[in-house]
Amino acid sequence: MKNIIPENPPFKLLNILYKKEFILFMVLLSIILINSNVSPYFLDLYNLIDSTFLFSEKAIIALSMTFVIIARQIDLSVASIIAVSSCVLGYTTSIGMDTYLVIIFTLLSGIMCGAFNGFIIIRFAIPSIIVTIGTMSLFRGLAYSFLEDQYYNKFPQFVVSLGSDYLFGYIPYAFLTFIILSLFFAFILHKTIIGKRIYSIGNNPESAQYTGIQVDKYTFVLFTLNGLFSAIAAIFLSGRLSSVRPNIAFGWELEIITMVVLGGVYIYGGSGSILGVVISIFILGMLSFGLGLLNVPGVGIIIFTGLLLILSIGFPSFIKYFRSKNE
Amino acid sequence: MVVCLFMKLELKKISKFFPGIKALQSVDFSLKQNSIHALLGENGAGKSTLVKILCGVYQPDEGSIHLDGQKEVIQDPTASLNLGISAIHQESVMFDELSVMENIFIGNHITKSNRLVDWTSMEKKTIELLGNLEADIKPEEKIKDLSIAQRHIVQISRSLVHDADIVIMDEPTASLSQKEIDELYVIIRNLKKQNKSIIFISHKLDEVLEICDEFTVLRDGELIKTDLISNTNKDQLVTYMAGREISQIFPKKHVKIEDEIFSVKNLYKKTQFKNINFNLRKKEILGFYGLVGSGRTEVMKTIFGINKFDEGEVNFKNKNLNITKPKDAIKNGIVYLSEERQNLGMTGLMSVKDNINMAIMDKNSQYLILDKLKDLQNASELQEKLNIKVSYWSQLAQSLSGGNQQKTVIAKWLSTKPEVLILDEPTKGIDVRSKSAVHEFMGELVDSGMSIIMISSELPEILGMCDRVVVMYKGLIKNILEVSNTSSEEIVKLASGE
Repeated sequence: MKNIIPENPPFKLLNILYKKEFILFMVLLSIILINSNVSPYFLDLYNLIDSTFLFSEKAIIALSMTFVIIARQIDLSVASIIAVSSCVLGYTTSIGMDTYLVIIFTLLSGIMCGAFNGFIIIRFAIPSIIVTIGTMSLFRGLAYSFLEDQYYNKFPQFVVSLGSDYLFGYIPYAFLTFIILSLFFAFILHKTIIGKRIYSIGNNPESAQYTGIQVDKYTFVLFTLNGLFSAIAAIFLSGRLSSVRPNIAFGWELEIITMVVLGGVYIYGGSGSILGVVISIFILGMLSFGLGLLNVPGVGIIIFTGLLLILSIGFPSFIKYFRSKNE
Repeated sequence: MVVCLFMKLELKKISKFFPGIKALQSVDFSLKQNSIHALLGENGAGKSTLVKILCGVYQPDEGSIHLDGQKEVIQDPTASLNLGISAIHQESVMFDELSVMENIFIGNHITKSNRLVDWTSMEKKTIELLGNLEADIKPEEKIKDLSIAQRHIVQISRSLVHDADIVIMDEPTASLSQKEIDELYVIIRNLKKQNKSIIFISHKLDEVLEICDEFTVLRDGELIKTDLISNTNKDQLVTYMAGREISQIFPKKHVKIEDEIFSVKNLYKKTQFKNINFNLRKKEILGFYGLVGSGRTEVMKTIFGINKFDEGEVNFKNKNLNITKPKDAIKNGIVYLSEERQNLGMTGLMSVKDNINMAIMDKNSQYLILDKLKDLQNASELQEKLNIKVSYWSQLAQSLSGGNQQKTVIAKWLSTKPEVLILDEPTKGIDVRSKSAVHEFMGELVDSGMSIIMISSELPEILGMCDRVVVMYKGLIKNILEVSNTSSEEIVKLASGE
């Protein structure tokens, strides 16, 4: 008799408990529960919607960063690319270009910065952490030397409304963009062979190369994509702030990487899911919104974020540790 | 003459159980002083468990260990070292960036009275140790710059520093060339003269017969036979190990060879190889023999598109191929199975199914979305053909046993329906039974119309399986010989540059 091999092992309820996404979801639920008990303003629909402005731009970059990290790379230059793209946005507006040209040039600047990262990494085989630490300063430096102590505060009406308006008066465009993109990214990563190849590269780049996957090409495209998404975030951010200084989005790279890593993406590549990252983005967003309502200062938020990161990532290891202790 | 009252080492009725498996079942094992004792058995026979018990990694569930007649309990690896037992592992545990001297004395540094490291005496001692072994290695060389054979020698020196009486060697010759093996033999015999006892684990029966004095065969955790080497022969050993007679280790099918399908002309790559000319005929198995470092693997990696060559051409079916990356080679039906199957063949954290289908994902998909039915069909077909033991498809590849991992990698390549299959040491480190299965399978592939290039360091394998053999030495092809028309002596001579 022919032996039929099942797709998956027999279903066990206990295994769900070990899923990172499940743990993250529980954390999100408890944050919402605690917040809504502590503050009467938390569950207010308008407040909740407005709180998405706090994280939507970062969240957009976190999506492409997820791909980069799963492919065993890292990009520390994203915040600096935002600075460059915002400057391009302000400059092209100031010389009176049409809105569509302004948008195109802004996106192009992000693509070029990302492509520059990718090119250096694959052409000279330098680790991405080193290259992007370099370009983090380089790009930021470009923005500083271009703007010096000036700032831009005039942007096309289209950009301003993208950054601060709502669709049907309810859904902020930035948040809407993030939701649509996250569905799209989840589809690419989990349903297409592109996703399978990215996992394969992150798991074992050499083996992937020997299997005929063009690792360098993928690396280049992913960094370019990261640049493009930084530029998209720059448009939303500039539109929202209505002001661009060279220190715009300073320190965001670590906040974005925190979103990705808290979402269960393995920092050495090869595993993680978009669902996890999306939940983690909501966790961080709801956490800082809730703490903000309670008038907890920024430092407190940072401390909470750090603790949360260690606790939720370490959770499976903690369980193992205590189990082995009890034996 | 001193009469030895006790065996150097005696294991009495040792048993070790793991959940669901009896790894060792009341096994007796005794080791004489100045003796080289072969420990034989297929993969999973219990050799590693026995070694791990001796090294203090595992505790036996039953039975006792006696050293020089004294009952001992080996609690942990340190206790094992203190008792004078030292193991040289297959995958060496060494520190690449440290010097030879530091590696030899690691954890055991000689210190001056002020507790600082005494480099001078350490260097002196190292030179003395390496001198005794007649090895040409400098104390300050870094481990990463040494050959595999030299690394073994450093490990042996390390065990001598610990003043080990019992040295366990786990497949020390697995990745060595014939010349290096001969040098290692000299060292092993030297150790024996210095009153050491050696436990020698190997899958290569010829070398066991050559160098060992006694042997013990394990099968499925049980003791099958222990005797003097002089009382046995190769066929008998194979029968002990396999539990049945393997009539032919190399079951070569007789296949009618057809016309030339693939050829390489004047291939040249700076500092690696030059003047590489050979052709491959349809249904032929072409062997590549040479010492480690003779450029065999480099040539194949270049043909496969991992590295670029500087000059020359590669022709396939009378067409000039321009291969710049592995994808081109795979598209044209040329695939390369690396000897490093863990590092270069598999994606351990992905499922078995994904691993099998990895190379043909674009063929099995439409608009970038995988056709799950085709995906499953291909995987099941190859799983059945190769008899890969997998419990469910989403099982991670790294959780398979070594043999099944190798089969998964082979399945990945077969699913691309290749015409030229390049195998780099396909049977390295696998047991007699699996070896014979791989050889049989190669015969079937050739019969079905494939052509195979096989790199191997084992002469019997080359002579048994190949139609012709290309012998390389220092990046040059010395000669291409008809296997039916040559001898092992001739091949070894060519390979060592004579």
